[in-house]
Amino acid sequence: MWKKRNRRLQSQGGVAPWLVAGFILLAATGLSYVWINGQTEMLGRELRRLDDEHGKLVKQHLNEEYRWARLKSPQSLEKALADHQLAMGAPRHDQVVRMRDTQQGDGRMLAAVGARGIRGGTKTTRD
Amino acid sequence: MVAVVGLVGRLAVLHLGGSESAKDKVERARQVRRTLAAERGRIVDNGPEPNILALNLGVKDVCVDPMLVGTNGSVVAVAEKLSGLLSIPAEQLLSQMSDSTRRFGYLKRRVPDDEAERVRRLKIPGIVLQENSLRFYPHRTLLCHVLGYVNLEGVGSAGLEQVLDEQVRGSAGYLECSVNALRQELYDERRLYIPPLAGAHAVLTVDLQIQNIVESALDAAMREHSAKGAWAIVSRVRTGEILAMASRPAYDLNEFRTAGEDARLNRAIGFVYEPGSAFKAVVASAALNEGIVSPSTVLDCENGAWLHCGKVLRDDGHHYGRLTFAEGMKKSSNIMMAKVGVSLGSQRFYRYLKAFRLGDRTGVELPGEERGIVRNVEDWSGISVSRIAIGQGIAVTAMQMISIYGAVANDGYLMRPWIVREVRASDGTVLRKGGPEVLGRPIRAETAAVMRRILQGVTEEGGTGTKAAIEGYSVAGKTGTAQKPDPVRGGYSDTAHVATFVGFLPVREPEVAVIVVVDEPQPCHYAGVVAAPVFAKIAGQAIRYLEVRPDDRQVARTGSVADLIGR
Repeated sequence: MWKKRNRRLQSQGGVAPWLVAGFILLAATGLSYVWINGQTEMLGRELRRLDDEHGKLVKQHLNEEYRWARLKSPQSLEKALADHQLAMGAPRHDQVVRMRDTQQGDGRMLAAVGARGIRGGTKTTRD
Repeated sequence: MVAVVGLVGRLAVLHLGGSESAKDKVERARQVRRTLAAERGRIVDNGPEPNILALNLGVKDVCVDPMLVGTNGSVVAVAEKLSGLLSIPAEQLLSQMSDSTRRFGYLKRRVPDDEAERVRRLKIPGIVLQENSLRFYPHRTLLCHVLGYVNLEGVGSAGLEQVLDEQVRGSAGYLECSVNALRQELYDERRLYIPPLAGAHAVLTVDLQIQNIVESALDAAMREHSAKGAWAIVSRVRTGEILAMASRPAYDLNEFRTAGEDARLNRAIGFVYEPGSAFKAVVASAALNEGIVSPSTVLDCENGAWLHCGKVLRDDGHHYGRLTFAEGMKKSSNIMMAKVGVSLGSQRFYRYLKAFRLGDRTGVELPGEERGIVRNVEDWSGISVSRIAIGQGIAVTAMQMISIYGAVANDGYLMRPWIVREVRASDGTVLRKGGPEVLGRPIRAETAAVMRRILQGVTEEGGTGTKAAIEGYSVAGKTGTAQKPDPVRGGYSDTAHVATFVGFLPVREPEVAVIVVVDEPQPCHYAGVVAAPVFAKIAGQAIRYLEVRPDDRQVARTGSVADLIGR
């Protein structure tokens, strides 16, 4: 029975191999298209998410910068010094010693707060 | 089976057929066209670590669709819910939402993120949040008149925000794309995307620390002298760059809408006044430059009263006799300077006024600068030259006065004051660069040197400005106490004065020039008592902050490291 049908198909010429190949190619192309489309959409969503995240981080960064600017504002620092009762001010002239930088030998001067009569830290600057 | 067939059929109709109008409607609903706001550039100071003076922060606008709110429940309940969160009376919100024919309205604009988040959590249909940004000024009142502000539409409307608006504002972007059912953008269906171009950043010549010194000193002066106003400028002599500029009354830049016109006026450039004796430096410089007088020239001060062109000029209760020119400046004799002005002559004096650019704007990059008032020499009366010589009948701004003293300090070179060091685009391109610019040289270097020595005498014993002296530094300057015009009675007021002290230091190699003006100080109005101490406070701290070496050798102790550690 089977042999008989096979023979009939052979006599009719059967399904052309190029048709089969074409069908497979079409199906593969279709599947690829769907897959690529999905990937593109997924990447798009990912980009959108990262874009949003970037926006949020930029915003957060700006907010932090603003807070930092407020914190180091001279007015805030003065208030903090007053709150902590730190009576800090510039040293008197007799508390300042300007030092020649003998190591440099180029005539530059170093200014430093002298140890005499000073409680607290020192400051070294150039002029 | 029937349902599936039905669905498939409907899908086929939607995809393959259907009316064009329905398709268009769906397509339009999926389209989004959006303008993308550009971030406004920031403004920073010129400190070693730049301090942010102005920047934009993201905020939200709370918007309403009254129709949707109305169809989804009680408008009253929504208004009550939002009232507490937005700090707006429920009645006001109700009136904003009651017109159910409208599809859009703002409930509150520029809401901080945390507040907006609390609104979002309520998930009220018809209440939506829209992204926006707002200009913030971290230092509030500090430098308010210089920075200016940005209005609600994002346009710079005062100060540097106005001047630099075009560069700092940036360019808005544009997006045209499709969205999904959740109104999320479909990246692969973007049709047009022009990214926003962020605004340029501006760097000023101002130093925030010096600015703070100036503003604190002005606040103290306002309190101490119950003054109507006070203003000051600190500039670098050699370059003309502005290190600080402040004016009182001031206002909080973040709340600029609540500030009155009076508080918004930058008096340092926008207040025109008669400078009084501080102006004597102009006639003195001109006379020295023309060789009419020298510091040792002796002039008769007429025992305090001089009749000229039928009018008596007095020396404010002083009865000076013969004084040298240098002594006359030190004691601020009106009669001596009036005589010097007369000797100089109207034409020559006028030429010097123009050489010092009086009657013209100095050209500082700030809006609202006044020209001052200098009448044409043809319109001068017989006594004009004697009165202008002592700072009457002429009106100036503090900026003009500091420029004149800056020229004396800078070997006669008149510099254009400038405050914008640089404007840099977000890609690093320099769009604008400030720098020193010589406007002219009204007096010779030798004249300037003589003037510096004469003006130094003012702050020394016997001078009118001894309270401007600073330990360790030689200070040159001049006091000026001017009566204000009385608009009701005419003439000059007996009670309203403007006290000025303007000068520079150190005299040997001047670094900074400072002007302090106090408007209507009470009860004492003398510049030597009111303005000179404020000058000393500002200049003393600023000069040490700038690490300028004292020129008093006894004060400036020097030694090597070995000396210090005792080896």
